[in-house]
Amino acid sequence: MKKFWNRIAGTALLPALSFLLAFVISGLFIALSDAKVLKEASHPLKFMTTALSTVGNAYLALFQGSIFDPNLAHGHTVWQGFYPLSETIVTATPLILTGLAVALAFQSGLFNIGAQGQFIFGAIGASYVGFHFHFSPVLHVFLALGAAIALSALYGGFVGLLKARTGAHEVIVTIMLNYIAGFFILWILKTTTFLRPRRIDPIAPEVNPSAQLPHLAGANFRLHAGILIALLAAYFVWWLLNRTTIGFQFRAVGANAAAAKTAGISVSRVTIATMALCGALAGLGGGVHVLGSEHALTADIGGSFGFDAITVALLGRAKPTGTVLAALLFGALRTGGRTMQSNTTTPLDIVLVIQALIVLFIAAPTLVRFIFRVKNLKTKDAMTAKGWNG
Amino acid sequence: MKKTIKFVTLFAALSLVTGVVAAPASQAAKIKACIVLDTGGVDDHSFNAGAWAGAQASTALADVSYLPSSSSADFAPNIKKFLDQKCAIIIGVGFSISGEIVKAAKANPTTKFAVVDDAGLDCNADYSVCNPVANVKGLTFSTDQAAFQAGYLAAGYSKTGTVATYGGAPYPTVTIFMDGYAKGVAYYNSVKKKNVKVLGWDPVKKTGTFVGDFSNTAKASQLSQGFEQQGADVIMPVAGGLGAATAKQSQTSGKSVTIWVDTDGFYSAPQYASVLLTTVAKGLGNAVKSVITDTATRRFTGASYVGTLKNNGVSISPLHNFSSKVPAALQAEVKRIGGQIASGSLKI
Amino acid sequence: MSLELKGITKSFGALVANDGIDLSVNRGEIHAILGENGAGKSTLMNIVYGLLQPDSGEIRVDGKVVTIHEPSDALAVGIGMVHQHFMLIPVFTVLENIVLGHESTSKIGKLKLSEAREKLLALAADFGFEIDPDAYIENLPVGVQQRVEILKALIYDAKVLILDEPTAVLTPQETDELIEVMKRLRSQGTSIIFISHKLREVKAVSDRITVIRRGKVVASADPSSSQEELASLMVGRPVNLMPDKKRPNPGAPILEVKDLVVLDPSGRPLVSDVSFTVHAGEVLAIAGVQGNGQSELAEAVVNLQAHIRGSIELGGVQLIGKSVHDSLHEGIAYVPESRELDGLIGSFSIAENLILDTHREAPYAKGITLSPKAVATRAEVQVKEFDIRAQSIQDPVTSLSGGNKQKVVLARELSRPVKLLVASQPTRGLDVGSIEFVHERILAERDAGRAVLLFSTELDEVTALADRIAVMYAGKILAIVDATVSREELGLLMAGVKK
Repeated sequence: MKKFWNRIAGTALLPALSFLLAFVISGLFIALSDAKVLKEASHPLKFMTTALSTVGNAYLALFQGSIFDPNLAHGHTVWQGFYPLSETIVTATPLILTGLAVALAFQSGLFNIGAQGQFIFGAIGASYVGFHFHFSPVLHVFLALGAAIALSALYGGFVGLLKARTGAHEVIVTIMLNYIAGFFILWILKTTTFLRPRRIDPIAPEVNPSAQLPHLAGANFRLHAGILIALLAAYFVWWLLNRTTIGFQFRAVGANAAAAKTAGISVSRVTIATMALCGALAGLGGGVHVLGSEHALTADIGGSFGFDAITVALLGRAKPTGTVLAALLFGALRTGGRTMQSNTTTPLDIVLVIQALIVLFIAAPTLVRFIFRVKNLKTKDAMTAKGWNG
Repeated sequence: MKKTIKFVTLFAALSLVTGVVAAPASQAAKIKACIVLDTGGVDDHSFNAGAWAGAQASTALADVSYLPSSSSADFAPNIKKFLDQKCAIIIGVGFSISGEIVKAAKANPTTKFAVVDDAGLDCNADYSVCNPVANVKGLTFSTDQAAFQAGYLAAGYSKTGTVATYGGAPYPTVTIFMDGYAKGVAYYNSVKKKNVKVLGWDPVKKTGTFVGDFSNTAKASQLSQGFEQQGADVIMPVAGGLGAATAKQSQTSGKSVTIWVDTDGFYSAPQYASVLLTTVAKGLGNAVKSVITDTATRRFTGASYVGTLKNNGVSISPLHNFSSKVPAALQAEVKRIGGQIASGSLKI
Repeated sequence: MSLELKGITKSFGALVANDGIDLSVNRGEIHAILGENGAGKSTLMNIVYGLLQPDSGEIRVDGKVVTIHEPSDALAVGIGMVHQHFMLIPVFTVLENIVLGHESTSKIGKLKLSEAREKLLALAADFGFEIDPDAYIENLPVGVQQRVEILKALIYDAKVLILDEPTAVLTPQETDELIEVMKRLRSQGTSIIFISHKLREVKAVSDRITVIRRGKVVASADPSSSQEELASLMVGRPVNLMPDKKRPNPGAPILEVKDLVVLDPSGRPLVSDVSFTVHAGEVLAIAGVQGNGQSELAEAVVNLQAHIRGSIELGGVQLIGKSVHDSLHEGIAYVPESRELDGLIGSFSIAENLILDTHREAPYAKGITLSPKAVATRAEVQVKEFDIRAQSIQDPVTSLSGGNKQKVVLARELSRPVKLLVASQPTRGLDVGSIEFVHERILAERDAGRAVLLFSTELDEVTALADRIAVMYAGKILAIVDATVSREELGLLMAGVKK
């Protein structure tokens, strides 16, 4: 049991301390960028209390906006107070899947920057099957998600193929394919096949109700079955990596490609398979996003899910569980930031500062170790990006 | 380590406590007016900024706040957030948010809503039937009326006999400017028996030149340069912040002048005042302000608002630096046309 | 000048690398320090040269206590060091490398080299070195580069010269020449600390031998002691340096290589027109100085090289064109040259490393799922059979010593049905005990009727194990000779001289 706790402390201490530091420093930003606080600059005591209350209000709003808001429960059931939590989960759902797409690649020694493009192609596939066809409810969802997976697996697998056959670096290729996906969706939303009738702005028809993911907590909540799919995917990635021969090869190539090759593992086959799987995961994210919460394809459907995924995977140390937790954290910050902005004068952008600081500290463990005078901070990293050496 | 942790715990505890104690006291009588912005942020120098300026001008009657949207996925949760906060009126900026506003309005009939740049109608799946919603006010603008004047002015001002326009993306709120502009030039041609060419928009085929988005400065500069090379000496960019790229091109080449859009560029982009012939102004802030005022004074109706030359919702700005460079006769003609459109005697 | 070390102690965390070491070097003496890898030789020398600071103890030069904080302090009191990996800049000339760090310039900043040139030439003449001050380092043979390093130390008046494993990179001829140079230096009063684990050389040149084991001085030995005695002192138990080799009993040809050409990606030949045959029950050793195409040839046999031509037949089956996996499963056990880079996955556990090649086969895999139980069972068995010293089969292999790492590789490779064992530098960097184990295992494979293709740059190893020896030079096999050939002849062949 003690060993277990040591392990938890070993892997979770750095993120936890980074998290804490990020909040403390962001607190300074919040206080010092607030007009009310600055007005009191000449009275040290008043300055301190105003600063503390401003920061306190901001973080309280952040909490209320992401986990539980008693004001919402007021006059309703307690259940209603958890609406913010459901929003956090809705926001985190696509991030979990794109985060897994990056994390799995890390495990195989690949740097998948292309989750954005793969996400978009998944969204396109799910949207088309969703609005163009009519099937029975469950079947329709499966077919739409299947289309998302197939399309994006091809899109990701193509990267692997290029790398395996020609040595083209996946970082460059995926960046370029992100651009292609971004412009492709702009174009496709101008075609008569995809453009919603009588609309000029880029939006596709709403997917048929049979293809929409069912709500999990009633119609008042946007919480949909996508989270179950995302958690299932996370379990799948864990199982694949730790319990299968394919995952064994993925990890072997990721940890030491030369030794894997010498032992007879085909590195090129692993590269192609990894990228296809990563594509499928990101694309599933796109599909879930369209079928679960958006219901219609728009030009900006990708948001920044693919790019945030890199941060999420890094924060989650390229492990499935870590990725899920990191995605939930990001989802909470994003939804909570909304309340922070509307309830207090603290701008939503401070959330980006918090996110950036967390990542900064995770990436600079020496700094955290120095600040907290911790010695045995575990910094060994499974996936320190081998990206550039191929 | 211990010391640091203690400090942090204290800090966290203090902030929580003071946070609870210092919860903002409610102010009586003022209503809550809430704005959900389109993507681009509050500082987009375009419709987000315009709408927010209008809201800030209403602070005597209302507590105003806004939420930015990083993508269309943020629309629904942003509206929901404001519903939770019991806003008296929720204003969505941009036609892309219209669908979500209408959806929320139908679910919350006691809350007032408004949409900037869209009629805010409740349409069926294939948009063949659209009905107004009682608690949604659409705020739209007949910018083609003022753009018509600008087109006429451009045609009269042009020495080369070629003028140009381009858009950010082929959205109806953009193309309506370009259309009015091209028709104004055509009107000038028919009245004066001239043949001034318009580059960048074909009012018959409804096709034209577009950047593709509202942020690609390089492409906007490139387009402006291309127009200059084809002989255009007046260019009207309808692309939000990208207008600056064209104005800059005018400044450096000296071969063209720029017609600004939305808010009078003489004030909002003073660094380019020397090359801004005029501005096709859209009274977006005023419209937002008046809908907030109506809500506060309990005079809100769902009847849609259309900004025209007649109600001053759209206008052509003073020529400022160019008032001495444009022949007085042309100035008078432009003014007269405006009057004719407002009175309805001149149909566009 | 005499150098004296008293009670030098240095710890790295829990590891005591040097534990109260006393050592004295007299004027004009060659003092060998003998010890296994990790015994603490390099730590001690780095302390003397100022690269590390001792926790306690003192250094005396001519009886006076000196403090050495950095190499310049060491040079100032007359201590110079030639590192195992040369500290020369390849694109600079000999002279430029010599003056590096001691540049004297004219007022306008122009390098003044004439003084240094004269000094260098005079010094080289003293020792009978032939050296061109304007030659670029990268164009010089390794042996000459080493002389530049020695000159570099001497020109700044080093009276005590530390040579750290100086023969590791040399051909036998170059080694002989180095020994001559060392003797000449001694005759002129220079003291030399000679660090090595090669017993033959230590015996040939040193006046005194100090043996270090686990950070402690365990013995002072006389150069007249036998190699077995010295080795036993190093290891701390009796060792058998010459494995008992039964008479070879060669059978049918197993591996037949014909006209093999290996090209690098730009099309330059790394191995050209190599042909040889290895029979069942025989060890064919490929000898040669490092970097003459042996690594590429070894990799080519299991199809790890991309651009190859010619023919490689294993038991009549053509291997060229097959995947690495298929080549191995035709019946090759492959021990790669670098355990760390190519043989093992450091972050993987021992158990996982043992199934790198067979993880897709029953009983380790059922369909696509791995069976951790079967994997663990196998690991337990092999850890016992190959005497792999580890706390748990779940420990990462990085936690193992070099010898145990190599045992993991051997255990994995020899557990398949094998016709041919390809072992590339199988004992490089291993301690004496592990070398014994590896040698015995290789001979056991031979005696069990398998063909063994051994690649080694260690002449002792080659002569101890081989039945026939092929010498590689510049990508070609110069000759295939019987194992009874003299060392001198082998040395000449390795230097590219064919009679």
